[in-house]
Amino acid sequence: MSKDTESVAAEDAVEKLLKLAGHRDMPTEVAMTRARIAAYAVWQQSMQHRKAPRWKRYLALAACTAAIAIIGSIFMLQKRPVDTLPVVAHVAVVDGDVGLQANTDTVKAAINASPVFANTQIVTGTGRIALTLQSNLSLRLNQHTTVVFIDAEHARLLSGEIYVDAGLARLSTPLLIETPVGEVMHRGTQYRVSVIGDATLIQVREGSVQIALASNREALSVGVGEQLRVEERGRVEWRAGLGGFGSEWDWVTKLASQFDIENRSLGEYLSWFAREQGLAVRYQSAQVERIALSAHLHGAVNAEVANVNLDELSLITGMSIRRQQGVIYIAQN
Amino acid sequence: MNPMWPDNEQELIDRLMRGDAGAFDQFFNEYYPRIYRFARRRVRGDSSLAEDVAQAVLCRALESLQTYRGEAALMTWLCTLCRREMSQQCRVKDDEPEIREALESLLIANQADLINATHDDDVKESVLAALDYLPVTYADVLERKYLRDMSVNAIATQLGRSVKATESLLTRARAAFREAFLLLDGDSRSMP
Repeated sequence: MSKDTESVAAEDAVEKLLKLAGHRDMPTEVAMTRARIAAYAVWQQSMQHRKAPRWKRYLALAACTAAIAIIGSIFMLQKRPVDTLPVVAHVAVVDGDVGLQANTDTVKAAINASPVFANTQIVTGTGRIALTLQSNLSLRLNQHTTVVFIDAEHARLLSGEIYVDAGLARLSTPLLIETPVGEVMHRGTQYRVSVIGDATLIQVREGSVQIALASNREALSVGVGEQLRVEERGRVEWRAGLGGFGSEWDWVTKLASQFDIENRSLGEYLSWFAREQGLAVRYQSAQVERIALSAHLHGAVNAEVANVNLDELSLITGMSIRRQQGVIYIAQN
Repeated sequence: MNPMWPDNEQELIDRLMRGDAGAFDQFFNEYYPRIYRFARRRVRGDSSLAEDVAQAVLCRALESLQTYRGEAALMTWLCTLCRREMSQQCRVKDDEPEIREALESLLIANQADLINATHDDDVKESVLAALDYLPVTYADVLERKYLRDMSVNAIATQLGRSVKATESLLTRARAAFREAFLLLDGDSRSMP
């Protein structure tokens, strides 16, 4: 047998074997996500431990003690300008007074379009704020919330309530929210995280959210309509069958940005509106859906003005657009 | 160079120890599915248990990266951790005799014989195991060529390589696969 014939035969053999075996099994998406969160948490923890051996820590402590006065005085004289820190987000909407404190700088009032730098603490008090992260992710903070932005992908929720809307785009590196009971991550979703007393609550409107518990490194996944409550001492409670709309979501809608409807279709507007309100959209027929997608609008609207808009739209478009429970129904008159 | 032992593994570990997020993604994406399949073959197809085991193995590995000294391929080290993890699960799940039996038979297997621990001489299993032992780029290019029936040109485009470089990669991948398969399936069996 010539060498060429041999190599062809060997190639054929490889092909036959691979075809016989078929594709390799893959773990489920849920398991992958859960494992990724757990592994990431372990990796981060182990790096913190590894960073400094004990003797080095003592040495560093001694060095720090000796240097603290010098550093302190230098810091007082020449504090690092805040605007040299990386920008992690921009303010999209402010409702009331909200304080931003970057890099131990003085507290400043948040204003629309102002940048939020890394290492900024946001205290909402009686106000509320919506932010757009560099990754385009929308983050909304309710009243009485304190959050520290460590960087563009990492925030620490100390108290209060955050709403996350990842939009429809899949992010390569999702936002990680540290809470007292563990780290929360998501994949393309809308959800709320609240820290109230010693309990952390997660409620998911769309997609899924994973939390890696700090107590035992267990990774839990929270799906649509589910609410997970975890206490610092480790007690876990689940609730299911919850709607993604209702009074507890109203503050989220209040912070929605305006939707520029100029030359956008009625269908697009309704999709955005439903997403902001946690509703589903049902068309009477495919033909009605086609009409909605081809009907173009003009102006700008805010999701907060809920049913008024729908009534106006019904009048303008000549279609029946009504909301019933968690669904917007669109039909031809 | 051992074709089944990529020379950039120590570099991957170093990057992980430096906190490189890209290295974490690479490590997780490459090794979680492979360890999952390694575990699954040993727990009689119990996917759920295999997922848990694989998760625990990767966590254990990331906790003890400094103990990996590069004396064995990374996959070999992870498989050793996987065996230990399964033996641990075996002790925990004392009420599941079937799993315990499978795990005990695995523990008896020769540690040096990496995949023979499958204790299953089915060719299909050996092929799948061999693919998991190859460097990811090799397994990937073989699957594209023979399972997705892609042309070399199409593979080259997708991988961003020249056609010549892709052909060379395929040749090396086939050679490594043959070597791995013969090792795993036993010397007595010849390739079809």
